[in-house]
Amino acid sequence: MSYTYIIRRILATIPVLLGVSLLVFLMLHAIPGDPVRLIVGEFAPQETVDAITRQLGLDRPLHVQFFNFLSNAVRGDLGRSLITNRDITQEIVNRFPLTFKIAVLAVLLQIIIGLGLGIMAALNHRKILDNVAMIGALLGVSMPSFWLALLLMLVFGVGLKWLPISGYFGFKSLILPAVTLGLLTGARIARMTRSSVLEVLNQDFVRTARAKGLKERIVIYKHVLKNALIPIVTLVGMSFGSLLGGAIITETVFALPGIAQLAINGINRRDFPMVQGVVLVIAVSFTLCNLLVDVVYSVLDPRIRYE
Amino acid sequence: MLKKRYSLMLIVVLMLVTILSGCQPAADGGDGDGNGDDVKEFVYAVVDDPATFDLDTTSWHQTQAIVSFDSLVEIDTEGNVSPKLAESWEISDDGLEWTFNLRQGIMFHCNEEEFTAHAVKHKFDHMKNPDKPSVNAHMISAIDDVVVVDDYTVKFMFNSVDGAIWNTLGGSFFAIDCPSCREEHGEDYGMNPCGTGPWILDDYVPGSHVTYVANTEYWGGADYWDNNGPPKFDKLTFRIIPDEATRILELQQGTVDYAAVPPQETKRLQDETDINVILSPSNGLRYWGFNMKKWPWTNKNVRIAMQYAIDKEAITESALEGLAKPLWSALPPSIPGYSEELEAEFKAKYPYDPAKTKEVLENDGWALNADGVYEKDGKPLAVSMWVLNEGIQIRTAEIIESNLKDVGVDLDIQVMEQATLTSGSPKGLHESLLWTYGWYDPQILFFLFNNGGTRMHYIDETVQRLAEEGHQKVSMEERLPIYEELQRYLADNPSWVVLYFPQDIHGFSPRVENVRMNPFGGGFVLNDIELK
Amino acid sequence: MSTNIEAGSQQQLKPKSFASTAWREFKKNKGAIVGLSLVIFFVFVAIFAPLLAPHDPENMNQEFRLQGPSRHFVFGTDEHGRDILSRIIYGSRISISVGFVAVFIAGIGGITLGLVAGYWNKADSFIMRIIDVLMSFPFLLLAIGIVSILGPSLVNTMIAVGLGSIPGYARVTRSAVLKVREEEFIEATRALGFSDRRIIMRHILPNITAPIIVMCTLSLGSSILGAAALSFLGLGAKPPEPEWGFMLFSARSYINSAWWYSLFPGLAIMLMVLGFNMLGDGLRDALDPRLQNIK
Repeated sequence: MSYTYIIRRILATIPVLLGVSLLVFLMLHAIPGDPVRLIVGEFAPQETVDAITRQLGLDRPLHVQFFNFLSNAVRGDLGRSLITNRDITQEIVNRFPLTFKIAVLAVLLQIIIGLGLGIMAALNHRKILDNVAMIGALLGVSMPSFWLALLLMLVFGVGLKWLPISGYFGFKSLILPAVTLGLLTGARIARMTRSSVLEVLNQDFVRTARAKGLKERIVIYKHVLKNALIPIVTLVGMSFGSLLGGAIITETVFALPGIAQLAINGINRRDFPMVQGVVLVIAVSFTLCNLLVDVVYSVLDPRIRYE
Repeated sequence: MLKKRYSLMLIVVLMLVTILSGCQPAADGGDGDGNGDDVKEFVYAVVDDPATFDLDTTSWHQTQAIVSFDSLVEIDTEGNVSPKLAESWEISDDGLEWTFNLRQGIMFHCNEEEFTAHAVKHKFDHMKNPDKPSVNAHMISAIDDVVVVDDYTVKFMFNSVDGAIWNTLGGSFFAIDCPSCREEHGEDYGMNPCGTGPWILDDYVPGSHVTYVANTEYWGGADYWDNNGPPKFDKLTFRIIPDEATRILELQQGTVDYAAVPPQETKRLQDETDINVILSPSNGLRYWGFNMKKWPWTNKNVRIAMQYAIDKEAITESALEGLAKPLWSALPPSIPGYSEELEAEFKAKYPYDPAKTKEVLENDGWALNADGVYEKDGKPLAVSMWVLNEGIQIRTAEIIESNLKDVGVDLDIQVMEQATLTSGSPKGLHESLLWTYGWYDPQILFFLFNNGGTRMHYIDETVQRLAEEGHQKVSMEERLPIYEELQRYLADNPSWVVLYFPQDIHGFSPRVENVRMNPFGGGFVLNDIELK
Repeated sequence: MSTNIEAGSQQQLKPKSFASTAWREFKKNKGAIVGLSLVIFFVFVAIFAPLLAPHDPENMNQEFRLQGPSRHFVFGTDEHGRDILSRIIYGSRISISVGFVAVFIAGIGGITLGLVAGYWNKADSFIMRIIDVLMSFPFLLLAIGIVSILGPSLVNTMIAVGLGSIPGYARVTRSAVLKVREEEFIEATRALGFSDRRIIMRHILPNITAPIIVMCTLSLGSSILGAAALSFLGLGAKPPEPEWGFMLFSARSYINSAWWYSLFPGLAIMLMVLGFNMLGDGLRDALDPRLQNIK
C-alpha cells in the first residue's frame, strides 16, 4: 500500500468533487424559484426584489458565480447563507458532530446485526435459523424507512416513554434514529454477509483447510471471514459515507439538527451557497470513506492489486 | 494478520470513545421537562429557525426572532392602538405630520444606550439607507423623513396620508434596534441583536432551540397588557420541531408548553387530554386565485360561473374539521371593514349551486364533450392549480377538484414547494393557485391588488383606485366606506373564489395560566403568561 | 468454477440447459416461489383493479370520513371518506409502473454505461468518474432536485428515481463485464480479431444477463421505496391519485386518530417490495452457477 497510491487516489478525487459541485450548481439554478421572493415577502415591490438580487450577487452571470464559489471553497470559505447571512462553514461544523455520532452508532448497529445475523444464517444454511434470520432481513430491506421511524417513535417514545420523541437531548435522542438506520441497512448487510460467507465456504481453499484437519473455528475465523468480509467492508464503508451526509427522513421525523436538514432547508429556501457547501462537504466525506474502504480492502486481501 | 484484526478493533473502540465522550446533553434549555428547580421556563414549539435576528434583512418575522424587541405602539385585543414605546401622539390636520412623545428611562439590553428619539430616527434611516435599504422599506413608503424634535419627541413626515401605518409601527417591521450595537456589530448584528424588549437573547443553537432570559429591568410594555412589568417567568425557550406530529406528541407529554395545533388534532386534544385548547379567529382568508393574464380567466363569465361551483362547507367541515367558516367577502371577520350585512349579501348572491355553474357556462357557449368536460371553440375547460405541499392545502384542493369534476371542469392539481410558488407566481407562470393572505388591516387589499399584485395579476382601474384610497385617510371611520365599495366591486368582478377563513388553534399545557389572545397581534400576550 | 475455454459452439449449447437448470433450482426454493406469487398477485391486482376494488377510489363521502376498518370499508376510510382498500388496489398500478419505468430508465442508462466502461478500458476511468460524481450525491437530494426542476408528476418521479439508480446499475454491469472478460478469455478472442459487436452480443451479454436480471428485480423494490419516500416528503405526487407513499404523507396528519391510514399503505409497500426482493433472491440463487453447487 504505497503512499504514492494514496496521493494519486486523493488527486483523483478532485475531478469528482469538481463534478459534484458543478452538478449541484447547475441543478440548483435549474430549479425554478429563487430565494429573493422568500426573503422580501409577497408584497415587496419589484424594486426591492431587484435590489436584493443585486445585493446577493444573484444577477451575475452563472459562470462567475460558480467560479467565485470554487475559488472561495478551496480556501475553506463556503460563503454565507443567503437567508441568514451566517457563515456556512460554521453551520456545517456545528451540525457535523450530531450527524457523525448517529452515523457511527448506526454503522455499529449495522455491523452487529448484519454480521451477526448473516454469519449465523450462513453457518446454519437451509436450517430454521437461516430461514428466520433471512425472513427478518428480507422484511428489513422491504420496509419504508419513514414507516419504521414512525412506528418506533410511537412505541418507544409515546407508548413506553423510554426515549425522547424528538429534538437533541444528548445520547438518548440518538438511539431511535440510529436504530431506524441501523436496522434497515443491517438487514441488507445480513443478506450480503450470508451470501458472501456461503460463497467463500464453498471455495476450494476452505475445503483444503478442512481436509488438513484444522479446527472448524480456525477455519471460520482465519480464512472464511477474512475473505467474506471484503464486499461487506465496501457496503459498510459506503453506508457510513452516505450517513455522514445525514439521513433526510430520519432527521425530519425525529427533528434532529443534522446536516441533511441543512441541505433540505437549503433547497426549500433556494439558499444556493448553503446547498453547494453542504453537498461539497458530503461529497468529500463520502470520497474519503471510499478511500478508507479501499485501504481496509487491501489490508484484508493482499491479493488485490492496484494499478 | 492478527495485528490487522486488532487494529480494526482498535478503530471500533476509538469510535465508541468518541461517541461517549462527546455525548453531553445539548447546551441550555435542552432538558425539556421545562422545570429546573426554581427556574421557570416556558417552552414554545416552533416550526423552523429564526431567519435572522436582524429584522431589516428579512420579511420573516417569526415570534422566535422578535421577542427581544419593542415597537412604538401595539394593536390591542379590540383593534385599537395602544401606547408602547410611544406614550402619546398628535397627528396634524392634514395627516402628514405625526408627532410621537416617547417614554423615558428605558435602556437597551446592552445597558449602554438609552432609548431616545435618536434610536427611532436611526431605525428609519437604516431602513431607508439608499446603499442597503431594508427588505421591508416598502412598508414605510409613505414616510419621507423622521425628525428628532428633542430626546423624547420625534416627528414623522409623510408624503401621503396613510391610516394603515399603525400596523407597521405596531409590529416587528418597525422594531427598534440599539443604534450603537448596530454600528458595533455591523454584518454580525443578525446574531447579536439588542433591543428594549422583555426578553434577552441568551443562546441560539441552529436547528435546535432559541433561548431567552427574562429582562428583569423591563420597563412595562404596551398599556393594554395586564402585566406591565418584567415577565412572570425566567426563561423562554423556542424549540425547533419541524415535524407536526412530533410537536403535538411533545405537547401532550408536557415537554412543550405551547404549540400551534392542526385542526385534525383539535378534538382529540380537547376530549382526551388536559391540554388547554384555545381557538381564535385567524387574521386572514384562503382563496382560489385566478391568474387574470391567462385563459380562461379573461372570460368574466367563467369566473362568475366558478363562484357557484365550490362547496365551501365541505371544505371547512372536512379539510378543516369544522374549525373554519366559509366566506364570501374579500375581508374576514377579524379585519375591520368586514360586515355581516355585506357577507350575507355576497352569500345570497353566490350560493353553492352546481346547476347554476352549468347554466352560466352553457349560456356563454360551452358544451359538454365526450369526456364530460365543458368545451368551447374546441378547447376543453381544463385548468391547473398550484397548491402548496402541505396537508390542509392539499385536502382543500382535492375537494375543489371533485367539485369541479361535477360541473364539467377538469382541474389539474400541481403540488409545489413554497419557493417555487412564491417566486413563480409574481412572474405569472401559473394558471390559478390556492393561496392565503394574513394581515390585520384592510390595507391588505391594496397589497394584494396593487399594480395587479403578485398572485392574481388583476389590473383594474377601479380596484387600484379604491385600494389606494382606502388607506389615504387617517381614521378608520373614514376608510371603511371605501373598503365597502371595494368589496362590492370585487364581488361583482371577482378574480378569485374566496373559500373560508380559518381559526388559529393554540394548545397550552395545563400549567400555563393567564392566557390572553390577541387576534390583532398574532397570537397571545406573552407578557401576561404565568406558569404554575 | 467455470472451465469453459472454448468460445463459440459450446456457448450455443450452454444457455438452453442453463435456463432449465435454473428453473429447476428456482422451483425448489420456497422463498422464490413466495416472491413470485406475491409479484403475480400484485400484477393481477393492478390489472384487474376495476373489478376488484369494492368502491370508486376517488369517490368522496364526507359522512364516512376517517372511519376504522369495517365490513363496508375493509381498510377504513381516509380524510375524505374514500375507501382505503380501493385506493390501495388502484395504487398498485402506480407503484408497479413507477417501479418498472424507473428500472427501465436506470437500466438503459446504467447498463450501457457499465458495458462501455467494462469493455473499453480507455472509457473506463472517465465513465467511472461520472458514476462517482453521481454516487457522491445523496440519492434523495438528487431525486428532490430532479423533481423540483421537472415539476410534480408521477412521470417525473419515475425519471428522478431512475436517474438516481443509474450508478448502481453501472457499477454492477461493469464488474460483471470485467469478470466475464477474465473468465471467458475475451482478450484472446479480441486478439483473434473477433469484432467488438460480436464479442459483446455473443459472449458478454449472455453471461452478464444473470446478474443484471437479479439487479433489476431487486432494484424494483428499492425504486418503489424511493418513489414512496419522495411522495412521503410531499414531492412528485399528484392528488387525487392513490399513490401509496402519498397516502402515508396524508396519513401523517392523522397519526393519532387513524392508525389504519398509516398502517395499510405502509404494509402494501412493504409486501410489494418484499415480493420483488424474494423473487430477486430466488433468481439470484437459481442463476448463479456457483451457488448451485452448495448443498
